[in-house]
Amino acid sequence: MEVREILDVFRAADPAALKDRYLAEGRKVVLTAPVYTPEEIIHSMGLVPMGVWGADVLLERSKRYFPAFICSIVQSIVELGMRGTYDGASAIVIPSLCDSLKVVGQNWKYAVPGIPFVPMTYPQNRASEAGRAFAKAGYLRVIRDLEAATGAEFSTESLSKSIKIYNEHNAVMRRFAREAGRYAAVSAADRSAVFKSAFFMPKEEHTALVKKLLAALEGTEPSSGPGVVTTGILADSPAILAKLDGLGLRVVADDVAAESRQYRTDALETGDPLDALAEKFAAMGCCSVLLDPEKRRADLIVGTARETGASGVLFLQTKFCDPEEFDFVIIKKACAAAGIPLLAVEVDRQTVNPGQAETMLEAFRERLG
Amino acid sequence: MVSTIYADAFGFIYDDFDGMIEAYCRVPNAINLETARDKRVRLCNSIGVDGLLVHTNRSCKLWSGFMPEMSRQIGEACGIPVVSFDGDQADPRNFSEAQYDTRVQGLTEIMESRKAGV
Repeated sequence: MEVREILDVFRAADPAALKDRYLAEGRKVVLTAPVYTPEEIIHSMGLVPMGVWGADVLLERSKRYFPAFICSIVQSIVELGMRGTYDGASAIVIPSLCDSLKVVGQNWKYAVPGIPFVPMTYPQNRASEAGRAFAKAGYLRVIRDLEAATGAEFSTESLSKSIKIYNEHNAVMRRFAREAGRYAAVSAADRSAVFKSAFFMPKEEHTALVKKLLAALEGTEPSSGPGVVTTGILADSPAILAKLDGLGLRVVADDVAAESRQYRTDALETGDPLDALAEKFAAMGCCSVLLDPEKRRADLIVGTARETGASGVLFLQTKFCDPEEFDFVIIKKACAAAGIPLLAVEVDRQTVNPGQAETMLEAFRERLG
Repeated sequence: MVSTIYADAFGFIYDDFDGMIEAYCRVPNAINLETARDKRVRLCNSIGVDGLLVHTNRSCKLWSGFMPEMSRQIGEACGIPVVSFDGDQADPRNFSEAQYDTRVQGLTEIMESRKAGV
């Protein structure tokens, strides 16, 4: 397959069609909400995890449940649930990682009663022995709830196998994140589609297809133009991606929750696999929804920009996301101290007219030279 | 005003370390919608509350994020009118005196008409 053909497979990965395919195959689908859920457990039980990060849809029904200042990611998840977009799913796993995620689970029980809510309560002080035990207790609760909702059974042997499959996918995605920006054939929109499709496609299929893409890319025309590092919760706005491509700005690396943050940390493939998952969560960091008193995320962004030779950092602020707002000032200061130009653009799943963001990106492009 | 949920946030009774941990697990910020609802329903019923005035607090997503649904359930369970207003624990710009006045007047009118058996 040629590069373009492979990229088009990622871009065509339609979650509704894939969900219907899984259901027609007699498989059970479990929805996974942002930012982190123990997907390996879901996969190991023979269930299909499908990521739900909302969509660019007009919020109507969900307004019955939320005040306006809850982010449109979680509001649109409930909106889609109420519209029946997720019908057929056996459960939804929602983690406790921010205040908005905490309330979405509570509202879900009444807004979408047909799809059972499975809470995943994570510890914030996660590296201590108590933190790891707390995370493990959360995983055991998820297992119990999934067994009740789906009839599927859990086994540690199966989880060990799934961890290997996920670790392989993590490695492939890390390689893709590193290499995608080097090739002219991979636009910002393509790059986003590769990450997004990972939430819908079977992991094994996705791994194989990304490997195929990386092999096909070797030796193709190198990209040109200034590179940027993107950071934020989401970077999938079609208007912003199109503008990046139109301006010749290359995404050379990212610190986006829906992209690279998912794949930074592997679980150990030895010992008890549930302990390995708790250990993995303890080792995760550099993320706005994971406690880090030292705020190493700012150093990570600066370091990534330097390593990749990026000309600037694009901070995509999801509207009403407090954890990202708290980090912004620290990141802005770190970039200024390092002499790295930074542009902050507010993104929202409710944006109808992206003109302001487009103008800001045009000015940023001029600034990068 | 005859009752508020805040009193529970500052009143802990415990005898030992485990008891302290259990007590803190039940603070109003750490409980689910049903437990939070039932606490309020008990308060309303125990002192014969006639109406519920709900503060939608811009700086408190954890409470305000499921307040609309919880308020509906409390109103139904207790048979009382429910009215909300916007505000903020930190930024007074999120509070509108005119909105507050109108909402409280509306609540008062419903409460009075119910009392009069209209």
